[in-house]
Amino acid sequence: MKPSARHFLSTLWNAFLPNNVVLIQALGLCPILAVGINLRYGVALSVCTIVTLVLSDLLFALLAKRIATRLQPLVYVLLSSILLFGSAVVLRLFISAEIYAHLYLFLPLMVVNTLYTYRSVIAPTTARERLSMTLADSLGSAFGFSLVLCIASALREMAIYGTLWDLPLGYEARFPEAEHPFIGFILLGFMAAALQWSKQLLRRKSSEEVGML
Amino acid sequence: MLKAATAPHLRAAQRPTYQSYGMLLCLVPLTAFSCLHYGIRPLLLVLSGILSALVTECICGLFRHGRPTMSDATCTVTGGLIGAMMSPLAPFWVPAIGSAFAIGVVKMPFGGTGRNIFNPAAAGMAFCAVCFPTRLFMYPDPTLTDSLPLLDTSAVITAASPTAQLNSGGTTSYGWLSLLSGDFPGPIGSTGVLILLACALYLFARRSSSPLILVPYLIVCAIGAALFPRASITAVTSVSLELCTGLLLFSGVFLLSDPVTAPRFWLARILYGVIAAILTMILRHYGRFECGEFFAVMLVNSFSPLLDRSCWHLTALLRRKREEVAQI
Amino acid sequence: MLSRHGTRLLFRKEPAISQPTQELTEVSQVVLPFSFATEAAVRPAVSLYDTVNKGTPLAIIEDDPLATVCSSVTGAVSGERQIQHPLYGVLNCAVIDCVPDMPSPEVPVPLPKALTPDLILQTAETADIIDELDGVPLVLKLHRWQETGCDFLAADGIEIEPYASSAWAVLRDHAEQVLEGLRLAALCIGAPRYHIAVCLSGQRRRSIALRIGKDYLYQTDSYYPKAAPVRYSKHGGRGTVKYGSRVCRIGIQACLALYRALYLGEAHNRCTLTVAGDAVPHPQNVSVPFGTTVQQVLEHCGLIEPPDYLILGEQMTGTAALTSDIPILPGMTCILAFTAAAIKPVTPRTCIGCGRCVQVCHAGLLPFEINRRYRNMHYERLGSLSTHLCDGCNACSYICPCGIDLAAVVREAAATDNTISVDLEEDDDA
Repeated sequence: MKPSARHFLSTLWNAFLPNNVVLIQALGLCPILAVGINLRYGVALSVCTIVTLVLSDLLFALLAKRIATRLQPLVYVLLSSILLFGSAVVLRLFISAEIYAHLYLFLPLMVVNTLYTYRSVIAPTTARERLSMTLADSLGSAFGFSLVLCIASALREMAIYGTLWDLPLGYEARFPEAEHPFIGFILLGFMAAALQWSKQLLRRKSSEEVGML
Repeated sequence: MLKAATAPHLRAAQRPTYQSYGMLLCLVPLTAFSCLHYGIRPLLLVLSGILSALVTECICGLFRHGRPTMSDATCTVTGGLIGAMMSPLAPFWVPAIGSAFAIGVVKMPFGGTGRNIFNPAAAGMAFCAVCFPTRLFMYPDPTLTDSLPLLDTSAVITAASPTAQLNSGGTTSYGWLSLLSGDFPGPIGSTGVLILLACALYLFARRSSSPLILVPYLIVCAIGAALFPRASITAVTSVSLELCTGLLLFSGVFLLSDPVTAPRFWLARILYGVIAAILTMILRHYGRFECGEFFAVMLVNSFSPLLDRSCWHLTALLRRKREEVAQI
Repeated sequence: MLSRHGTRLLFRKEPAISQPTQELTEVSQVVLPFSFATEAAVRPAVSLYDTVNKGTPLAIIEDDPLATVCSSVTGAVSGERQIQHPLYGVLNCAVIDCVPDMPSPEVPVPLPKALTPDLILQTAETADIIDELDGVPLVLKLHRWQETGCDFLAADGIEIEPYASSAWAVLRDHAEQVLEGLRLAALCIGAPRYHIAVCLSGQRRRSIALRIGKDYLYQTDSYYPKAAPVRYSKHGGRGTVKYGSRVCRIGIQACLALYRALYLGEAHNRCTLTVAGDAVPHPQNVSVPFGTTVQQVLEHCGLIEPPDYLILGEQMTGTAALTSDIPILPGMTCILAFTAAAIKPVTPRTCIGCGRCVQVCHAGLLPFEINRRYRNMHYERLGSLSTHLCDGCNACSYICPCGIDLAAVVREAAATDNTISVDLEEDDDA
C-alpha cells in the first residue's frame, strides 16, 4: 500500500472512531438527543449530514487558498448552510415530507457542527494533499456521527415503540420514557465510556506487545 | 526485628461504613412507623429497594473487577432511601428500578462510592418521578386503611397529600397536630416528622451529618414558606405545612447530608443548605411534581465542589487581610 | 467559633504518669555525637582511651561554638562510631565507657549579686542547655526573643498526645525549680508575664497549683493539636493575652536546667523521658544522661526482646526507628515500643468526603481537596491551596475514616512546589 493511501485510511479511521465527533468531541449532541428516537429519522439525518459535510468540505478545500484567512470560517459556514438547505429541499420534495417535518429544526444546527472539520481542511499545504485529507476527514467524521446517531436511534426506537425501522419486533415490553432527552444523554455517556474502554484495552495491548518486543 | 512505620501511629477507630450504618438504623423507626399505618407493605418496598441496589452493585462489581463485589454499605443506604421515599401504594418494581438506576447509572459508572457527583438516591428518585409520575404521588388515606393489600392496590382509597392540596392552590385539611403525629398521606419515610427530627439529632450526635447543612436549610425553607405561602393561609400554618409535609425534611436529613456529595468546608455547607432550600421552595412553587426536593438536591450537588473551593478561598483571603491589619 | 479545629485524643498516660521518676544512674556506656553541626569543621578534642569527665567538650568547633557537645558522664572513650539517627541523621559519635560517679553532694554555687540578662544568657551557653521542645540551644532562643521582644513566656508542659508524661514528671518533682527557671528566663528576655501551661486532670493540676500558686499554672484545652499555651482574648484582661501578642514557648526541662545551671552550677546533661507503649512491661518516666542508648532504657523498663515497633517521639508525630542501638539526645522526650497488634497497617480506601479532615485541620487547609488534586495529578492547581501552611500534626491522617494518609499527601504536595509539569500527551485527543 502506498504511504499516501495508508495516510488516507488512517485519517479516515481516526475520524471515524478513535476521535469520534460525538463520543469524544461531544459535538452534535442536540440532534441525537432530540431526533434519535427512530431509526428512519436517524438515517435521514445521517444521509443529510454525510452529503453536506463531504461536499462542503471538498468545495471549501478547493476555495480555501483564495479566501482571506479571516473570512474563511464565515465562507465555510455559508457554504455548508447553502448545501444543507439544498439537501433539505431535496429531502422534503423528493423523499419524505414527514421526515422533513421531524428534522427541520435540527438541520440548521448541523451547519455549526460541520465547523469541527474546518481545521483539517486548512491544515495541509499542497492542493492535492488537502483534497485527499479533507475527503478522509470529512468522510470519517460524517460516518462516525452517523454510526452513533443510528445506534442511538435504533436502541431508543426499540425501547419506545418495540419496532425497528417501523417494523414490529414482536415483544411487549415498552419503555416510553426513553423519549426523554436525559435518557439520550445517559445512552451517549455509556457509549462514550465503552469507546474509551475499548481504546484503553487496545492501548494496553499494544504497549504489552511493545514490552514483549 | 523492628518494623518501619509512618506517623501517625494512631488512627481514629472509625470505618467509612460508620455513616452508612447510622443512616440505615435511622430508616428502621421510620419504616416501622409507616408499617403501623399501612401494614407490611412499606417494609417490603424498602426491602425491594435495598435488594435491587445490592444486586446492581454486585453486577457492576462483576463488570469492574470480574467478580461480584460489594464495596461497602452505601448501596444499601441508597436502596433503603429510595424505598423510603416511595408512596406506600407504589408497585414493588418502582423502587427496584429506581435503585438499579441509582447504582448502575449514577453511582458506579463514576467510580463507585466516594466518586459520584450526584446523590444516587436523589437521582434514582428523580428518575422514578420523571418516568412513573402516576405511580409515585398517589398516597393512601392513613385514617381509612387498616393494612394495604400486597399486590392489587387499585381498590385502596387514596387521599390528596397536603403538598398536593397546596400545589393545586387550595387550602389543606390537616392541622398541626395531625402533621406532628404523622396522620397525613405522604411517602413512607417522611410522615413521621418527630421521628425524622430525632433521627437528625441522632446523626448529629454520631457526627454522621452536620447541622451546618440542615439548620440553614430548614430556616431558609421556613422563611420562604412564611413570605410566600402557596395558599391563602397564615404564615405559621404555611411554615408548618411546608416543613412537615412532602420530602422536605426527609431530603434535608438524609439526602443533603450525604457526605460524598455535600461540601466539606463550614461556610460552603451553610451556603449549600441555603441554596438547596431556595431551590426546594422554587420547585415547590413552580415545579411539575408535588415533591421536587430530589431535583433540588441534585441541582445543588453540582455546586458543592465549587462552593467548597470558593468559600475556602474567600475565608483564606479574609484571614490574610486580617493578619495584615493586625501586623500594622 | 463555628468550627473547633482539632480532635480529642484518648490519653494513655497511665501507668507511667503515676510511677515515680527513676534515675538511671548505672549506665554502662553512652554514645555521644561530637557535634550536631553538619557543615562546620569538627576537630575531635578527645581521642581513644582518653578519660573524660562530666562536662568535657568532645570536640572543638571553630565556627559554631554552640554546636559543641559535652560529655554527660565520667568515663573513658572506648571507640568511635557512625550512627544513622532517625531524628538527627548521620552522626559521628564517641563511645564512652562509664565509671561509677562519686556521689557528690549538691553544693550550691555562690550566686552573683545580680542576675543580669547577660549572665543568664552566658550561663545558658556554658551549661549547654538545649530546649527539649525543638532541640534548639536555649541560648539561641533566648537571644532571638531578646531581639524580637516577648509579651508572654509560657513553659510548655502541655503534652497533648496520648503517652508522654515527662513534663508532668519533671513538674511533680521540681515544680518550684521549674518556676524559678522560668522566672529567670522571663527576666532574661524581658517578658512581663509568664506561666506554666499544662493539660492535666484536676487532682494533679491542683497539687501543682498548691505548690507554685494558681496564677502560674494554666490549663489548656485538650484538643489536639491546637492546644495554645495561653488564653487569648480581645483586651488581654486578667489571665488572658491580647490577640497578636508575641507568645514564646520554652520547655519545662529547659527551665529546670536553667535553674540548675544558675543555682547549682550543673551542666545540662540529663533528660527525663517517658518510656511507654504496650510492649513495655513497666512504663515509667526515666531520667537518663544524654547518650544513653535506647536499648539500655528499654531494658531498664523490662523490655528484653525487641518490640515490633520502636517509635521515637509521640504516637501522632513520632518517627519509627529500625534499631534500638541509638543514643538518646536532647530533644527526645518519649520512647514508645509497640507490638504488631497495636499498630495495624491500614489499607486506604476512596475518600467518602466526610469532611473530618477539614474540621480537624488547625492550619485551615482542605486536605481532601489537596489529596484529590494530587492524586489526579493537577499539580498546577495545588499552589492555591496553601499546602506550605501544614505543620505536620497528622491530625487529618488520624481522623480519616478511610485510612488515607492525608498528611503524607499534603507534605508531598507541598514538596512539589508547583514545579512538576506532567506530560499529558498520552491521550491522543491533543
